[in-house]
Parts: sequence; structure tokens; C-alpha cells
Amino acid sequence: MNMVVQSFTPLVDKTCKCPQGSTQRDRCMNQLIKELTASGKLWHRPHNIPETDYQDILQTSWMYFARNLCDGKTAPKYDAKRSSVPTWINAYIRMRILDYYLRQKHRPIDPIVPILPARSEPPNILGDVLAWLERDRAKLQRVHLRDHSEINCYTLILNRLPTEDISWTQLAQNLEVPKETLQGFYRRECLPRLREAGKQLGYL
Amino acid sequence: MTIPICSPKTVVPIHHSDRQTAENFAKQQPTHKQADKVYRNTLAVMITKHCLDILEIPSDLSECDSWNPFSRLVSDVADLHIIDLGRLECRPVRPGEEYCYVPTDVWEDRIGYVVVQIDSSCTEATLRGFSVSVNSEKLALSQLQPLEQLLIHLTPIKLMKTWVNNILDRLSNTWKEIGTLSGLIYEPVFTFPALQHIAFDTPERTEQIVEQLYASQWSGNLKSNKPSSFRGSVGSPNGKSQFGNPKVKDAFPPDFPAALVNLIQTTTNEEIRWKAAEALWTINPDHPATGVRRVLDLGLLIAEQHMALMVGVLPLQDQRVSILARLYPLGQQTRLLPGLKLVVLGADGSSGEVAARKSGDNYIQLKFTGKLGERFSINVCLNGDNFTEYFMI
Repeated sequence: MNMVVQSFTPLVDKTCKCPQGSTQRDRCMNQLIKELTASGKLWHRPHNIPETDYQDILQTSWMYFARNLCDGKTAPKYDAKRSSVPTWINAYIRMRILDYYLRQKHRPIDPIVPILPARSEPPNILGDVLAWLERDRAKLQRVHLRDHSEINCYTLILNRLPTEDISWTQLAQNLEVPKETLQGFYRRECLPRLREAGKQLGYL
Repeated sequence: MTIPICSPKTVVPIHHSDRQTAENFAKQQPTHKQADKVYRNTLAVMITKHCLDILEIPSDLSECDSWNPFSRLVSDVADLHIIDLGRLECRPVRPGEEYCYVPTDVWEDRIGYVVVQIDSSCTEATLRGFSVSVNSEKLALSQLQPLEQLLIHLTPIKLMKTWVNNILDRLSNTWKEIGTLSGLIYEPVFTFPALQHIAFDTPERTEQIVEQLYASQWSGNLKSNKPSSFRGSVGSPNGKSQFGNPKVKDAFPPDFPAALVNLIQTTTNEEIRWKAAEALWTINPDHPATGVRRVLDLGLLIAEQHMALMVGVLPLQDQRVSILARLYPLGQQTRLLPGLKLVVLGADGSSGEVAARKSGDNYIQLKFTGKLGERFSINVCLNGDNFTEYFMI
């Protein structure tokens, strides 16, 4: 049950306290890299990446490590509040492994397919949503912004459907309330009701 | 100062089959504008998914709004469900754009936002970066964090929702059910001083305890936490039950579990809430309203002292939860070291609550409430040693 967790914090603190560019800093940095490598906590080499390529990835990663652990020269500085040192460097190693895989893939040369025109007929879902809006109209109209009975769930949902698709800026102008107020009301009152309708209609 | 980000670009080829899927979804839309939106959203989701597959981060499309024809039609969504963690929003941008549009539809219930730049021929995409949260429709690309931060962000989150639904973390099995640490723990993990020596042995006894919690609720504070006073204060000095107070009596549901559940759900006093949960747990450990408790053995991480961190979650109404974080000595230790701190921080790492070990305490704890989707971290520290665990409700 006991787990003794190795903490790199003291050595990181020691390293970063050394003056930038000093030999002490280099020495501590090397020690840290050595300990991390020996800790078994570094991201494993995927079996389909050759050892030499993986070593290249590690090499790049240690450069990133040395530049950003204390000073943040090429990326945001390491933040002990967000993650442990192994998690931080592993994130970089994993991203470079991702880049490596992506480079190996041939760029597809398949023909560019333009977006086909959208259907002229609205699909059934839209019909169902519109029918639900009409059926529950009175109920949806009762849920409105305080002192604005015209700004209600029915109106907002209808206006935001793709068939109307009125922008928030336009809606705010039309209804003479701040856009943020409309959006807040939409998120709080309309989206949950739309979701509920989706469930009732058997789509969710 | 803005730090120049020099991470290599992550360029992703787009498969023909992905374009075909996006096209199929687009064809279902009633307008050209919506079709274009759905096409690009779908590509952004699939590109992100391919990358996460390579990164060995399991994701699932089947539960996503972006994969549901209804949700695609009625809202602007590009979500990808990261297994055990939650929904990551994958927003598309065009080359040359400086801002990414993030519709209000997706401002909540997201664990983060990835921005995917899709080239004009839709054959290649570049992952531009990541943001933990958004608070406006325009997300400046210059403010994005490098993708390494996404991996850091996804690595440690523990999702309270999965705990409450009794799903064990796939990514980590280190958080245990309380029972697994019995024997190592000096005192029962989930026991409050006020209830430690109280046996819910008779209906009368239970009634008295429940009654006192209700009385405390009405008087606005709890009586002393000492067990003796808790026991002693049941009923008024003249022997008349506190049910004599009509307010208390009216508020009291007919049976004890219902009374306790009511209290757990409605009180605004966290102390009373957790005491009611403890009382309910003692009467009926399987009652769903008692919430969940998980415990993590911290080993000798902090100052070589064997400790355990317990986190309890009580589901409340309106997607809110009440959370209790408590630090205990484990094994041979009976007291926590002086100076030990337990800190709860918000998503941005700021404005936290702190509890410090006071002399005489054998545990320290914090109680707070939050709502679905909120993030926080629990940090345990003493001198230079510290341990942090990240959570999302």
C-alpha cells in the first residue's frame, strides 16, 4: 500500500536558483535530466518508433526542458502548481511523438471534394423541432427574461435555428438588450429545454 | 509579457474518409451556412480525435453532440468526449484568422478548447493551441496555450461525476473506496467528532440526533462539536423535545432518512450538511444521498509522514455538489505534523481556501460547494514538499 513518490521539486528549486548560464546551473540541469531518465517516469518509446528516432525526440525534449524549466525561453515556464516535472516533460515528448507519426504519413493526394450543396428540403429533425416549438409555444413563451416577455424561450430558440439563424448581435439590436444577457438566458433557459425536446423526440 | 511560443507546428493530414463523413453530416443541414459550419466542425473533431488516438488518450464519438444529428442541427457544436474526463471542444479556424469563434452554445460543460486550423483545400490541418476556458465568442489565437498544456490538463483531472455514478477512474486506480484502507487508518475516515461516540442504536436515539440537526439548522449554528455536549444537548434542559419548536416540527419530514436527505439537500450550512450525511450513512450506508467517499494513500510523499487524503462528494440539487477534503494520518502516525496545509484552488490556480493543522487536531479538512463542470485542485503542502490532485465536478 505504501507508495514512495519521488519528488523532483528540491532539485528543480536548486537548479533554478543557480544563475542563468552558470556552470552550476548546467550541472544541476544535467543531474535533473539524469535522475528523470533513471526514474522510469519518462514516456515510453512506442514500439514502432526506432530507438535512434526516439533518441532524437528526447534530445529535442531536453533542449526544451533546459530552456523552459526555469526561464520560459521558448514556451511558458514550468509551473509546479500545474503538474509534476515528469508530467510536464512527458507532455512535450508525447507531442513530438505525435508530430513524428504525422510526418511519417503520406499526405493524401486524393481529389479535393467541394462541399456539396445543402439539401433544399429541411430534414425531418427540423420539422420535428418546429412542430415541438409550436406545440409548446405557450409554455416556452412563459419562460422569459425578467421584464421582457417578448424575450422568451420560444422566440430565442426559433431565431437561433439554422433556418432563421439571426446573429446574436442582430438579435440584441432587435430586442434592445445586451448580447451577453441574451446569450446567458439562452444557455440557462433555452439550451436545457432544447435538449429535453431532443430526448422527448427520441433523438438524444 | 507574452512569451513567444516556438513549439514545432503539429500538422495533420486530413483523410479522404474524414472529408466524406463531414460531407455526409453537412448534407443533412437545411442551409448552406449551416452545412459549412457542420462540415468544418466535423473535420475539427475528427482531426483532434486522430491526434488523441496517437497520443493514447481514449476518446469516444458516440456520445458526442457533434455526432448527433439533432444536436448538430439545433446548435453549433464540435465536442469530443474524452473518456473519463469530459467533453473537449474542437473549434475550426481558417488560415489567416486571428480569432477563433466559440459560440455561446459551448461555453459550459467543457474540459477545454482546442483550436484547429483547416486549410482552404481541407486536406491539411494545423493544431493551433489550447485554452482551458472561454468567456467570450472571440478567442484570440495569440492567447492560446501550446498543446503540451492540453496534455498536462488532461492527465490529472479526476471527475467527480464519475465518482458519484460509481465509475472507477480508468486512468488511475489510486483513489480507493474507503473500506480498502481500513486497518491502516487511525480513526474511521468518515466520522465527525460530534458523531464519533454516538450510536444510532435505537429509533429514539436517531430521532434525537436528527432532531438536533434540524434545530441547529433553525438556530443557524451547531452546538459544540464535542461528543458529550452533542449528546447532552439533545432535547431542552427541561426534558421537552425541541420538536416543541413549531418551526422545527413543521420542517421535519415523517421518517429519519427523508428528514436527513431533506437536510442534506436544502441546508446552506456545510457543517450541518455533512453531519446529516454522516448520520444517514450510519443508519443506511447504501443510501444514495450519502454521496461517495474516496481515499488516496499519499504514502510518504509529504515530509515522510504517512497520510491519506479523503474526498467526499454529496450530490445536491441543480447540478451542484458539496465537497469535503480531509487529510488524515495513516498507519502508525496518530497526529499530523504542525505547519501542514490543505489548500483548495480554483481552475486558474488562484483564490483558494486554506486549512492549516492546529495543535491537537488529528486531521485537517475543508468543505465547499461547486457546480457541474467546475474545476479545482487540492494541494497538500509542508515546507518544500507538496502534492496536488486535480478535479472536475
